[in-house]
Amino acid sequence: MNGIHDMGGMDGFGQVQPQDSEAFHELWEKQIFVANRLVRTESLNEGRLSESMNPVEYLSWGYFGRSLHSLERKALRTGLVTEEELKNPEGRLARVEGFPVIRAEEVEARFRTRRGSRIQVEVPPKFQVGNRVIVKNEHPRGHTRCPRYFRGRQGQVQRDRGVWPFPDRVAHGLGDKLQHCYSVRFAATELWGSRADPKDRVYADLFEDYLEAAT
Amino acid sequence: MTLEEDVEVHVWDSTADLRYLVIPERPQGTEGMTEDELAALVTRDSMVGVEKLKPFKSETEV
Repeated sequence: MNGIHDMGGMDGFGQVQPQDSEAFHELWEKQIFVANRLVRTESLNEGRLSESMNPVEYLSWGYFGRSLHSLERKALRTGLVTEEELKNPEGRLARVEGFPVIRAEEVEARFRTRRGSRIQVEVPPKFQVGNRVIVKNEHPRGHTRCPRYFRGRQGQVQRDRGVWPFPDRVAHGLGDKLQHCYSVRFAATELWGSRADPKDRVYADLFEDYLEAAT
Repeated sequence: MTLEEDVEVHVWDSTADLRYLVIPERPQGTEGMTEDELAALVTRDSMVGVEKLKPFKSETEV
């Protein structure tokens, strides 16, 4: 989606204002963090749909506000709540039949179970280190992990990062389409034109589906 | 942060599920420090790569 969330290269946001080093400032932020962590059973990209937010909300709700939005979307998609119930949550707790339940005493163990997303499965890679690749000019309507500012640009494969579930599918619950992800290096001038220093480089981790061979 | 003209900047955009951190350049004046002493000098911003750690002056230096 060509949304507000895809900010790479945009001007006008001003300088980053460093905050304190606290991860959470309000109780609800902790609750949302825990809830999102618990409903995510596989890849980090499950339910990553905050780009579907209204742009003004996206910019003003903050990190945990965006997590809340993703959680609501997942709850709606799975039928755990209806739109009406989200607006009027009174007496809402009744319907849990058919849904997996996690009890408070199980939460800590769940958090301690760490699992990365990388998959130990042999999938033939399309590209090798050193290959020159061009990022496809595709404009997916849904979730993608390819920032707009790379589209159409040529880079060189630096490393094969292994096999992963494909975020563009996983975020919408469409299976995982396992594929290689590559670290691709770009000249800064390739991305930003003459405003960039010719010495500088930008690296991105890009999935195989985003790339085609440069001729 | 101002860098010298001859410094190459490499930017890592963590677009996929991998996360990165920067190993900060070791500051001057830290020769002979233990690992724990060195670790105490590291800042969040230096691990993001937007700060260089300042040369270290011990309290006994004049």
